Amino acid sequence: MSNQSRNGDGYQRNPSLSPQADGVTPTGSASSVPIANITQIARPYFTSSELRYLHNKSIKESEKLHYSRTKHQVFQFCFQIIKQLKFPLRVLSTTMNYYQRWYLFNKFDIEQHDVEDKLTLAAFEKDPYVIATTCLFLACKNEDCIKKLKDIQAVANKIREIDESKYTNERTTSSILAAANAANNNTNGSITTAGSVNNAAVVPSSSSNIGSGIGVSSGSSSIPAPVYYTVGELHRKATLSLEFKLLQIIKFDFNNGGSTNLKLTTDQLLIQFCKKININYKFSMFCWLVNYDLIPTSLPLTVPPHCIALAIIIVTLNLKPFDLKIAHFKDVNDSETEISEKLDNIDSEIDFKCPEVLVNEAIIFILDFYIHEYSKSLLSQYLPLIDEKSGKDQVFKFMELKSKFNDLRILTEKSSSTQDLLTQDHYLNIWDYSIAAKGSTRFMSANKRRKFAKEL
Amino acid sequence: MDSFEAATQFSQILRNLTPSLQTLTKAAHFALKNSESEDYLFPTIIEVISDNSIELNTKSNLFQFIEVLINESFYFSKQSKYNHPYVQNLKQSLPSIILQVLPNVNNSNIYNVYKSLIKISKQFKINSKEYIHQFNVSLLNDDDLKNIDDNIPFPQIGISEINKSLDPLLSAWDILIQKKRQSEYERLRLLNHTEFESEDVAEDLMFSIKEKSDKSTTLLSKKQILWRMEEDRESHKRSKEGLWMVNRSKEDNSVGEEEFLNMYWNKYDVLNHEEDKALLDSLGELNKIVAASYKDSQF
Repeated sequence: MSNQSRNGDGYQRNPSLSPQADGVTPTGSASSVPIANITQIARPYFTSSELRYLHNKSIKESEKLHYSRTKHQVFQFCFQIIKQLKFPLRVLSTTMNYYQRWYLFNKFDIEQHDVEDKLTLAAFEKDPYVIATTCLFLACKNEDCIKKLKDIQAVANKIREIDESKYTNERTTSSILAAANAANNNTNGSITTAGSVNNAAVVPSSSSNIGSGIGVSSGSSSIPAPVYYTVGELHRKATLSLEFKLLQIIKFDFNNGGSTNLKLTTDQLLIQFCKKININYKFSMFCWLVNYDLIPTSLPLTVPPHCIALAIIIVTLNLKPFDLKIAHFKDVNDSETEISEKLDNIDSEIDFKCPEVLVNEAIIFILDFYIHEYSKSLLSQYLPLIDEKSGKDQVFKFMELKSKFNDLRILTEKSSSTQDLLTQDHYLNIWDYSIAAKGSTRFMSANKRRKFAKEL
Repeated sequence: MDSFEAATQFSQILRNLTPSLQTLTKAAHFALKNSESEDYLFPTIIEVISDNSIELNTKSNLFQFIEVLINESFYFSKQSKYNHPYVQNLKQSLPSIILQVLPNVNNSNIYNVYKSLIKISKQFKINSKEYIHQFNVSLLNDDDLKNIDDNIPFPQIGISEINKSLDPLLSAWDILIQKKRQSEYERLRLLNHTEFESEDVAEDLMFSIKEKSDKSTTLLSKKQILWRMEEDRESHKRSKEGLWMVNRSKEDNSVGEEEFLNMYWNKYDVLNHEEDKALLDSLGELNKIVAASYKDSQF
């Protein structure tokens, strides 16, 4: 059990944080059984030490590498889906945001995620690919690019080469589905349990009270009807159940770290900012590539989109990537002085409403990212191996810039500086879904918090 | 089915068109499946569209049908069995068809025709950018303004306007632009030369609703107007469903430059002062949420 923890910022007056600090507050005088009651406030952004702490809880030390490898594969997988369904990139960004958020509050459990081995609902709900599909399903709704789950699922399973018609080990609990199955088998006559994973599970005609209801004659009931879900059906069931869980993880915050009035994502803000300060085509393209590389990273969980966008622009103007390999507007280049002027004229707080400390955090993150991952990045495919001007590997440019930016002020982490402080924060626990199922959970976005202070 | 039979059936289908994509496609497929009877079916299209008893809503549907038919014909012709049936005939007749769909001074179908014409131009790989621009700006020149002041009606746009030497599709665009100019002109003339009414105006008068006894097809009855609003709402909704689609090359395993060029660089412009202020205001709002998300006070 946990409660939202905003220790130190004046929120501790919340009565539900009082005596029953574990969040169990008796509600309703008639009932003597205490009901778990918890309020969760959406926190779209975490500091990096909080992220580390959360990951330590959700991912075993030995599986950290596996997690990041899986994340990368999942990113590729999601890109394939959005390519086939023609989704814009913002769907991919939101999907990866959700996916990473999921593993902050849920255990990364790889032991039984192999679908082929264990075709059960529990295994499906732990499968990172099923989770990713769910994230994509919710993301496309949130980004206003609606597609039916059926369509998304078909594409996803085709990419994974999964046969949706195969039977799973999960018994259908719904008698209607079983009845439909039975009816289907009887009318078609061709489907037998041969395709079923387990032949033992059939509806015994004597115990079945549904047969007569749907007009299955006793004569035809000799054909056994499977009462198992197919992979497709189970996938659908898992996705819908995961979707509800995911909604709790994102705290029903559909702004996804933005505000209600601002429906722009990082890529859109980026190009808007580029146009605003008249960044040329080549550099804008460079910015855009950096943004793509950052989609599967944890940066969007730490820093809001407008600050990421501005940080990308600042990094780009500092790197001056004249040698970017592009097909259009190749020869449009600004002079060094023009670039320096643009850089000097950027006022992050006034012109872009970007708090400097957040921009700095993003700049350092971006540079660190390329220092470590440059060879795997999309950007590396658009730059020559060796930087023309310095004659060195491209990575050195990032290192050099990082040393220049060494003393930038980044996010303070006082409240999460020690393990002790982090442990005290119950918000940073693996999320317990039973609270919402058995008790009551209330979700609200941070800026609405004060409005409801009296009720809490 | 013999050609005559096909033509009769086709005529029935065309007279009962609705703007749902399903019906339009079904009709187009009927035409394509019987494409060996093109010599009978194509004149049927022209005959139905020129029929004076056909109401305006149906004419709008017919034009959307033509768009779908061209589209499907191109699609079918990917198989060797088909060699772009109807495409040339339809293209040739486009200017005169437009004049039928936008008869006299009633231009209520103009926006649908415009939408369809953009799509048709895409099929023929004709650059319609300049026309799209013209359609969306004011076209009235000084002479027009003077004529409006003198309350002179806009000259009739007829067959004679069609420039035979031009590609029929471009000529169709010319007609459409003329029609756009006409509606702009007539609207301004109406505004300038009609008495200001302070009393309540009856509905029929306000929307020039057709009276029941009136058999003319250039005006719409109230029921037809409501019907049309519903249909346009549907087709508008449908057209928005695909707006977000991004086409990416099959081979690429990640995004490519074309996506940046088309979906970002060419799509976004510098914001004007007000838009920029609105953006900054909402970013300011966002900052409050961001600040509340961190436990420490960061900025």
